[in-house]
Amino acid sequence: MELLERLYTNIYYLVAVVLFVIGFHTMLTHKNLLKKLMALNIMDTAIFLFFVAIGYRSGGQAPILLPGVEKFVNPVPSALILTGIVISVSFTAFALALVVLLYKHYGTLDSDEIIAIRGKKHV
Amino acid sequence: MFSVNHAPVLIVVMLLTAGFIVPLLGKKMALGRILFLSVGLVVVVLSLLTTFAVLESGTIVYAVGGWPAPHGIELVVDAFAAYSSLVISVISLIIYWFVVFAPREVKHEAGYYALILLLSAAMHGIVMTGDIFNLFVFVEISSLAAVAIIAVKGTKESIEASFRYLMLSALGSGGMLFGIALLFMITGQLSMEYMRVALSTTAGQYPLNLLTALGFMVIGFGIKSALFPLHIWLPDAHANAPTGSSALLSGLVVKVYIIAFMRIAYMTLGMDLFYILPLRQILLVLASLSILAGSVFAIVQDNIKRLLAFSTVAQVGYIFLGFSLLTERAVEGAIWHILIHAIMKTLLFLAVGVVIHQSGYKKISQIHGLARRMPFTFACITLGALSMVGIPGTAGFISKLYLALGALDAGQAIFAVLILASSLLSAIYYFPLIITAYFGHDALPNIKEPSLAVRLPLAVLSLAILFYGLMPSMLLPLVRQTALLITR
Repeated sequence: MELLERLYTNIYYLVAVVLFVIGFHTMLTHKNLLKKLMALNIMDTAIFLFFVAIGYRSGGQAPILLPGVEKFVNPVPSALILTGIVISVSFTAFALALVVLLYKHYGTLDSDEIIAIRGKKHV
Repeated sequence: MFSVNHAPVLIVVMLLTAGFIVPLLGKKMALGRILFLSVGLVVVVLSLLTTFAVLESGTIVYAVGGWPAPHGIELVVDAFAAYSSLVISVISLIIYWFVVFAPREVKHEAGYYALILLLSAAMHGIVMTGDIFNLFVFVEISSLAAVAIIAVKGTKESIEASFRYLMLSALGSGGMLFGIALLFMITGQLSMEYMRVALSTTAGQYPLNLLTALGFMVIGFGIKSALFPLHIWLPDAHANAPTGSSALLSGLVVKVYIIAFMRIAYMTLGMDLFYILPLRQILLVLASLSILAGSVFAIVQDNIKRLLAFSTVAQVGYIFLGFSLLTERAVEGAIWHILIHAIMKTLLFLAVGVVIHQSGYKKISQIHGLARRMPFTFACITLGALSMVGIPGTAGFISKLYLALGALDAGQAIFAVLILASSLLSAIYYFPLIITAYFGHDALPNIKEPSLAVRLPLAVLSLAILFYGLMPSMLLPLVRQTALLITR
C-alpha cells in the first residue's frame, strides 16, 4: 500500500522511466532504422518529462510575480529542456538525412540487411 | 582593452563565428582557406596566453555576459582546462594545415571546414565551461559535428558507420542528460562549483540518486569515449572517415569526453566520492578490459586504419586507467598520455592517409616494399609506431613510465604488468606494418612521396614525438599542477 502511494506521488517520474524503457527496448529490438529513430525520440521525451517534472509543483503558477500568487513552478528545468528539445530535433533531422542516404546506397532500411550487404564481420 | 581574461571565451566565439562565415564565402575558397588557417593560428596564440596566465596567477573565472554563477554561465579555466585547450588548439592547427593542403577527399570543401571549426569550438567549450548544462550543449554540438565529418566522405561505408555512431552517441547523450537531471534534482544547481558545495551536504541523504546519476554518466561518457564494451561504433567510424577527420576524432574528440568526465568528477562530485562509490573499481576494470580487448582486436586487423582505430580503444583505456588509479604519478601519466597519444595517433592517421592516397593500398598485406618508394612517410609511421609501443627516447615511453610508476604507487602492481603486456601486444600489431613495408618485394615504381606542404605536418609531429621523448620537462609544471588539481 505504501509502495502504491509512493508510486502515485511520483507518478511523473514513474511514467518517465517507463517511457525510457519502452524507447530503449524498441531501439534494441527493432530492425527498421526509422523505428530505431522514433525509439530514440521516445527516450529523449522520457528524459525531458523527467527533467521538467523536477521543477513542477502541483497547483504552481508560472513564476511571474503577481500579488496573491505564492506557489511557483521552478522555471529552470523548463528553460533547459527547451534547449534539449532543439538538440533532439537537430539530431533527428541529421539522422533522417543519413537514413535517406543509407536507403539510396543500400536500398533497404533493415539494419540486418545493411550489415549483410556490407558483408563484414563486426568485432 | 584586451585582458587575458577574455581569451578563453574568445577562443570559442571565434571558432564558432568562423565556422559560420567560411561556408558563406561561396566561391572564394582561397579566402576561406586563409580564414580557416588563421583562425586556427590565433586560437593557438590565445590558448598559449591563457595557459601562461593560469600558470602565473591561478584559475581564470569568466562570467559570460557579465552574469556570474549560480545564475549565469561561467568559464572556469583551471590548469586542466588550459592544458586541454592548448593540446586541442595545437593539434587541430596541424590537422587544419593537412586538410587544406592534402588532396581533397571531400566534395564540399567549405562545409567541411565549417564542421571542423564547429567541432573545435565545441571541444574548447567542453574543456573550459563551468556549467554542467552548458557542457551538455557543447557535447551535443561536438557529437553532431563529429558524426558529420565522417559522413561527408559520402561512401557507403562511411554513411553506415556514421549512422551507427550517431545513434549510439544520441544514446550516450540521453544517459548524460539523465545523469544531469538526477544531480540537478538533489542539488538544484547547474554550476559545477555550486553543485559540489550542495553535494557535500546533501550527498549522504540521497545515495540512490547519486548512484543512478553516476551510472548514467559512466554509460554516457563511456559510449562517447569508447570505453570497452561500449566501443563498438569506433573502429568503423574512425576507419571510414576522411584522413583529417580520422586524425581529429582519434586524436582529440575521444579524449575530450574523458576530460569532461574527469572535470565533472573532481569539480562536481569531489574526489571523495570516487572512493566512497564503487566508481573507481568499475572504471579500473573497464579500462583494463579496453586495453586488452583493443590490443587483441588490433592484432587480427589487416586494414591499416581499422588497426589504428582499435589501438585508440586501447589507448583510451590507458587514460582511464591513469585517472582511476588516482595516485599523483598515475594521473600525471594520464594527462601526459592525452597529449602524447594525440600527437602519435594524429601522426599515424595522417601518414597512413597519405600512404592510402598515394598508393591506393589500404591493407597491410598490400604494402610490400612500399617504404622504398615513400621513405619519408614510412619513417614517420615507424617513429609513431615505436612511440606507441613505448620505446625509450620516444614520447610514448614517458606517459607509459608515469602510468606504470603510478600503478606501483597505488600498490597495484598488476596494472603495471598490464601496461607492459599491452606494450608487447602493440609491438605485435605495429611491427608487421613496418616489416612488410620495409622488407618484401618491390612495389610499383610510379608511387611517389606527397608534396612538401603535406609532409610538413608529419615532420612537425615526428619532431614533437622525439622532443617530448628526450626532453619532457617543458610542459611538466602544467601537468603537475593539473594532477594536483585532481588528486588533492
